[in-house]
Amino acid sequence: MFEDRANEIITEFLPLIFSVALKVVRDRDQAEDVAQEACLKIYNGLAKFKGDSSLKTWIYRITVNAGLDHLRKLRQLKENPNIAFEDKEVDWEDSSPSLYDFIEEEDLKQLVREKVLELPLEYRLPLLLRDAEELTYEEISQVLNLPLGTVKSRIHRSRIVLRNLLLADLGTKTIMGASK
Amino acid sequence: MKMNMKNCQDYLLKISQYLDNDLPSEDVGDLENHLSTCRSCKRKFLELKLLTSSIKSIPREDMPPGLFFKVRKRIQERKEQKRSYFIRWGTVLSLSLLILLVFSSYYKPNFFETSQDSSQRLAQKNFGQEMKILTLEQTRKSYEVASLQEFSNILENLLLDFPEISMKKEIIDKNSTSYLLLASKQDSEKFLSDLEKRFNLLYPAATSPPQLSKDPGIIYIYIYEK
Repeated sequence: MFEDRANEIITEFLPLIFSVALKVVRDRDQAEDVAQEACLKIYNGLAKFKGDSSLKTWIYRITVNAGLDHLRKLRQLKENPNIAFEDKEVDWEDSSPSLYDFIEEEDLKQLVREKVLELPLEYRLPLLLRDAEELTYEEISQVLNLPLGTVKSRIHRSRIVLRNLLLADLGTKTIMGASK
Repeated sequence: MKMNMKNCQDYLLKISQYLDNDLPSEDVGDLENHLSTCRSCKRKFLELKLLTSSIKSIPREDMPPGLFFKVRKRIQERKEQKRSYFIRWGTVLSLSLLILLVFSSYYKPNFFETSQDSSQRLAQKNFGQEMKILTLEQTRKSYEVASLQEFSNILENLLLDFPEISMKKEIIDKNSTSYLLLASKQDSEKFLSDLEKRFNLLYPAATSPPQLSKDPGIIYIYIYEK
């Protein structure tokens, strides 16, 4: 009975688990490892799952945590990335040009889809959970274990950081293009 | 002019909330009015809208073929590992019993009593004779907590990250819960330090009495070494 339910849940949610893992670690091979680890935790924890949150939110949380653990392990090996969540003030300069000044909307959309994956984890994760996974603020707050207010401001900041990143990228390309 | 800039700064956050359908309805009209008169904010609105709609249109990545079978294999392996671990632990338990029986015939009665305190007696009462003997190797820890339920949730959530640790939970009464854990030394150290971190996050002012006193309680954690 338990085995059937565990199997059913893993079968249903595995594509989601893989996709979330990929959003955290940004590498397909590593995302496979993270997805497997997450499934093990789901299997081990299912009997203890009490329904304090929805099953979907619980699965998101386990997967994100498995991804973060994976990154922490890598950091031990490489003394690498800072994945701590730090809030910094971000500015939108009124005098800056518009993204639309540089390229057509369709190309811009494609560039957004690429650049969002280059955002640091603390911005990328809340933003992707909101806009790509379409979770509510409350669900994101449960998944990331962050207060609701922090989630709201983090998502807003993430959009501005992404916009500034795009602007910098487009500006550089334009300057390089002009100098050729 | 300065006042206007401050207003525009405030509208920026509202634009984000508006795109997330999270702007209170009484503010929606005000924002829409502002957007119809302020070119700069309208431009920001269009750019932010483009960002959200672009991210929404990212297709879900294809799952690698074979992942499902890899997952099933990992789960199967883990189940077998657990089974052999219980057999191993059974052997350790029997050996410990034997050693302690021999040992206790040399050292007379007070041997066990010296390490007893009230919390230990409580665990003995609840977990029976075999466990009493292994308490010689235990790491004991007790927390006074403001909300028993909340802290139990934290502890059980953390346990999900430690699949190697076996757990037996005993609700002693409405104010106290006992957790009996079986873990390797390394796991138990890591577990206790992670738990301490989460506990400090929940009760940052650990030196002052807990804030929520509706449901005060005590959590006993007994960790036995594998």
